[in-house]
Amino acid sequence: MTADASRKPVIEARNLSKWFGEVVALNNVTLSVEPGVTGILGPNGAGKSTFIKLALGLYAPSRGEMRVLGEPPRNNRRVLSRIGWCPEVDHFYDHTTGFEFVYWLCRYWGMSSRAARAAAIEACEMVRITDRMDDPIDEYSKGMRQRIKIAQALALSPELIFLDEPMNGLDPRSREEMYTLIRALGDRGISVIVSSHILYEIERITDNVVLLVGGTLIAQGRVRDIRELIDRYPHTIRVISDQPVQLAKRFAGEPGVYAVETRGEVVTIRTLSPDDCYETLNILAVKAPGWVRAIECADNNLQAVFDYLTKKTVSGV
Amino acid sequence: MPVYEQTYRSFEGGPPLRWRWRFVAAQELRVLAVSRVFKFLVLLGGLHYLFRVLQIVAFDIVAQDPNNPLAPLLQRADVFFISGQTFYDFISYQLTLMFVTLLYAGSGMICNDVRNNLLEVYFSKPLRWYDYLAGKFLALFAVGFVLTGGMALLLLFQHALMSPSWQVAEDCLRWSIGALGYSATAVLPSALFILLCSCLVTGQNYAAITVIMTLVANTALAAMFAETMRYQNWYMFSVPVAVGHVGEKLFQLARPQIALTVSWHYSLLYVAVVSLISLVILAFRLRKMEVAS
Amino acid sequence: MAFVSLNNLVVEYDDFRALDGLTLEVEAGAIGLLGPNGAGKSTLLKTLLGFLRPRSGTASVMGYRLPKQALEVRRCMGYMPEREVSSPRVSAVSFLAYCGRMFGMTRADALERAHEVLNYVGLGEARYRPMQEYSTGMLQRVKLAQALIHDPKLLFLDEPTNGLDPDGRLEMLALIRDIVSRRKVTVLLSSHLLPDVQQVCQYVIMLNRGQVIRHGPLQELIRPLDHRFEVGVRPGEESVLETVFQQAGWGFRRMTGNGHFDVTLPEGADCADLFRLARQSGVQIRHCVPVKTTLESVFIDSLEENEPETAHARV
Repeated sequence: MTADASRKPVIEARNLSKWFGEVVALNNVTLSVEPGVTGILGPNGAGKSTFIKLALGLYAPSRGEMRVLGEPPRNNRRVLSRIGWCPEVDHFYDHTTGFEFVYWLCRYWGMSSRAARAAAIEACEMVRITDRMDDPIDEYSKGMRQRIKIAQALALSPELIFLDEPMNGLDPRSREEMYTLIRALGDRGISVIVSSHILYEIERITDNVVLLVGGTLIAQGRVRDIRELIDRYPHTIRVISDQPVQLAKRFAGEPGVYAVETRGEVVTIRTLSPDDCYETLNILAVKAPGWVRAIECADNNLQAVFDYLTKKTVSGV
Repeated sequence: MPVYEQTYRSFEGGPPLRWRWRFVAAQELRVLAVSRVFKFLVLLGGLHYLFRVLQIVAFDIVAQDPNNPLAPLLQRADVFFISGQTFYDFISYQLTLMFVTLLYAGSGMICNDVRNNLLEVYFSKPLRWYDYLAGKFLALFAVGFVLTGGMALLLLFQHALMSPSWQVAEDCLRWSIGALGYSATAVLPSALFILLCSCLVTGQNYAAITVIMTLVANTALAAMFAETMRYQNWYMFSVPVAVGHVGEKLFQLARPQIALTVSWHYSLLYVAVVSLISLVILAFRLRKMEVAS
Repeated sequence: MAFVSLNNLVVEYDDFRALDGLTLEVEAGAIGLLGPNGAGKSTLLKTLLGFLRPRSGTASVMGYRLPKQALEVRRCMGYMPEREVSSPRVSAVSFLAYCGRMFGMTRADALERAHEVLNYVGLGEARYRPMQEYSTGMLQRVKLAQALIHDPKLLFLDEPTNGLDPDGRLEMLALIRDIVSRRKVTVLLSSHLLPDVQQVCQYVIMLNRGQVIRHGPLQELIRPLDHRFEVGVRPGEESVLETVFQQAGWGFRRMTGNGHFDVTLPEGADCADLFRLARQSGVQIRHCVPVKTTLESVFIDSLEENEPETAHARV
C-alpha cells in the first residue's frame, strides 16, 4: 500500500480554479495525488466536493488544468471507464435487487449482457454481499446499501475510486468491515480517495491526507510529516508520571520548553525543540522508571493538525 | 468562546394545555400569510368582493336615489338587480378561486412536513395526532370559508344595511343561512380531500395534481353514467354538482340550473359521506405516522 | 430517583419483538446508548415518548408511567432526531417559538426563550432567515435548540454530530458536555461514533436484539491491557526498532495509520525495560502508552459474544 514512485500521480491539478458566479469554490489549486489510499478533508465549503466533481468530469475547470490518470476527465470515456465513484447520497430505484442495480448500471455503461453479469457478480463478491445480492435494496441495512454503492463503483474494475463519506450511518461493526474493505482495495492496487469529516476514521484508513480549506490547498502528505512542518506551534507532549511535580520542575528550565502544566499525574510539556525533550525523557525513563510511565505526543494526530492549520490561533489542546 | 457563557432559562412547565390545535392553525396561517402567491390569490378574491360591494351600492343607493342622474340607467340594467341569485352567484364564482387557493395552501401541508422530518419534532412535543389534524384542517377551512361564506355574509350585511326596506333585511337573514350552508358544503370536502391527498402522496405538486385529476375523473364518471343510463340524477355523484344543488336549494332560487329531481338532502348526504370517508382515512394514516415518526 | 426505569419491557412492532424483556435503570449523567442498527434503540425511544404500547412490563420516565402519562413525559423530555429537520419557509426563531408554544408558553415567553436557546447553541444572525438557506451545521443546531427550549431534564440525542465538519463536531460535543455538567440534564446519547461517546459519556448501555447485553460505567469497560504498549519512535528509526523487537523475541505488529508498534511485553518486563532496550540501539521513543481497550473493541466483542453465529472474521 505504499506509494510507488515509478507510477504517475493519479490526479494532477495545476492552477485549478472553479467558480460559480462570485463564489470561488477552488482557488488556484496545484496538487498531485499519488497512487494508494488518500484522504481528502476540509471544513464544509472548503471545495472538497467541487474538487472531486472536477476529477470526475462533472464540472469543467473555470481555469487551469485537471488531469486524472493522465488525461482531462471531462467527456472522456477512456478515463471515466477507469474511475469509480461512490457518492454520498442514498437513493436507489425501488424494488431493484442489489445485483440488478449493479448489472443494469454496467449495461448502461456499454457492457454486453454476459460481461455485465460477470462484472456484477464479481463486484458483489468483492464487497461480500453475494448472499444478499438478490434481495431488494429496500430491505438492505445501511451498511449493505453503502456496500452495494461501492460494488457499483468497482464494477468496471477501476484503477481509481472515490468514496464520499463511506462510513456515514454505519454501526461500529460495519465500520470495521468498511475499513478492512478499503484497505483490501488499496492492497489490490486500486487507488482510493476517501472524503470524510470524521478525522479519526481517516486516520485508521490511511496516513496520506490532502487538506483543503477555503478553496485552497493547505497541506498534503503524511500526517506526521505535516506536523513536523508546522513549526510555529510548539509540540505538546504528555507524560504520565508517578512524580509529576519533580518531572515538571526538571523540564521547567530546559531550553526550548515553552510551558509545563501538571494535572494529577499528567504532565503536559509544550516545547519548541521536541527532539531534546524526548531525548531527556528517554534517559529519565531508564534512570528513574517511575518518573516516566507513559509518553504521548498529544498533537501528532489529524485532529490537532487540522485545528492548527484551519485556525489562526491555537484554541488550546 | 462566548457561546457558552449564555444559557437558556429554566421552565417549570405550565398546566396541561387545552386546544393545542390552535397553535398549529395559527402557525399555518402565519406561514401562508408570508407567501406572495397566496396574497395574490386572496387579492383576486378581494377584487371580486369589491366589485360586488360596488354592485350593492349601485343598486341600493344610487339606483333608488331619484336625484342621482345615473339612477334611471341603473334601474333598467338587469345586471345590477340584487336577489338571492346574486349571492348564490357570488359564492359560486368564488368557489373556483377558493379551490385553487386551498390547493395551493393545503397540498403541501402534510407531505412537506413528512419530507422535512418535522413529524418527529412535532410528535415529540405534547401534541397528539388529532391536534395536528384539527389545526391543519381548521387553517384550511378558515381560508376557504372567509373567501366564500365570510365575504358573502359581509355582503349580505351590507345589503341589509343599505337597503331601505325591512323585507330585504329579512331576506338577507334567510340568505345568510344559505350562504353559510352553501359555503360550508363546498369548503368542507375540499379541505378534507386536499389534506388527504397531501397525506397520501409524497410530493406537494403530485398531491395537487392528484386532487385535480380526482375531481376531473369524478365529474367525468358522473357525466358518463348519466348520459349512458339516460338518467340525469347520476350527476349527483359529481361533488361539484352535488354542492351546487345544495346551494341552489338553500338559496331557494327561482330558476335553478342544476336539473336534479332528487331532494337536496341526498346531495348533502353524499357530500357528508365523502367528507367523512376522507376524515377517517386521514385519521388512520396520521395515527400510523405518529408512531412511525 | 431513576430518570428512566424499565422493567422487563416487551414491545412488539409490526409483529416483530423489538424489545425483549428490557430491564434497565438510568441515573443522572451522560449515558451512551449503543447498538447495531435494528437493536431496538428507536423502538425504545418511541416507547419512552409514548407512541408504542408495551406488550408487557413497565416503563416510567421521571416517575411518570408510560404510556398513560405520555404527555407529561413529553413535556420533560427533549428529542433531537437523527434525520435532517427543516421548516423551509420559516425562520429559526419562528420555528422555535412555535415549538415553545406547544408547551404552553405565551407568545412573548416563547419568543424570548427561542432567542436564549439559539444563543446557547450558537446560531447567530442567521436565525432570522428562512431555514431553507441554512447549512447542515446550522440545521443541527436548530435541532438541538428545539429539544432544549422547554428546559427538559432528560434529553435524547440521536447521532447529534451527523453531517458536521470537524469543527462543528467538536463544538457539538462541547455543547453536550456543557448541557450535562452545567445544566444538570440527563443525556441519552445514541451514536455509532464510539470515540465521540467515549468523550462525552460516563456510563454506557449496549443493546442488541432488544436486550441489554452490556452496561456499566465507562471507566470499567475501558481498561488498560496488561503488558501491551503502543510505541512510536523518531521518524526514520522504525526499522531499527523492528529489528530490536525481533531479536528480543517480543510479539509486535505495526499499526496502520500512524505506523506505531503494538508490542506485547513478556512477563516480568515493564516500561523501563522497553526504554532500556530502545536506548541500547539508539532509538528515541516518542510515544509509549499502554494499550487500552477501546469502546469499539468492547462493543464488537460484546456483540460477538451475544451472537456467536454471526461472528465476523476480522483482519
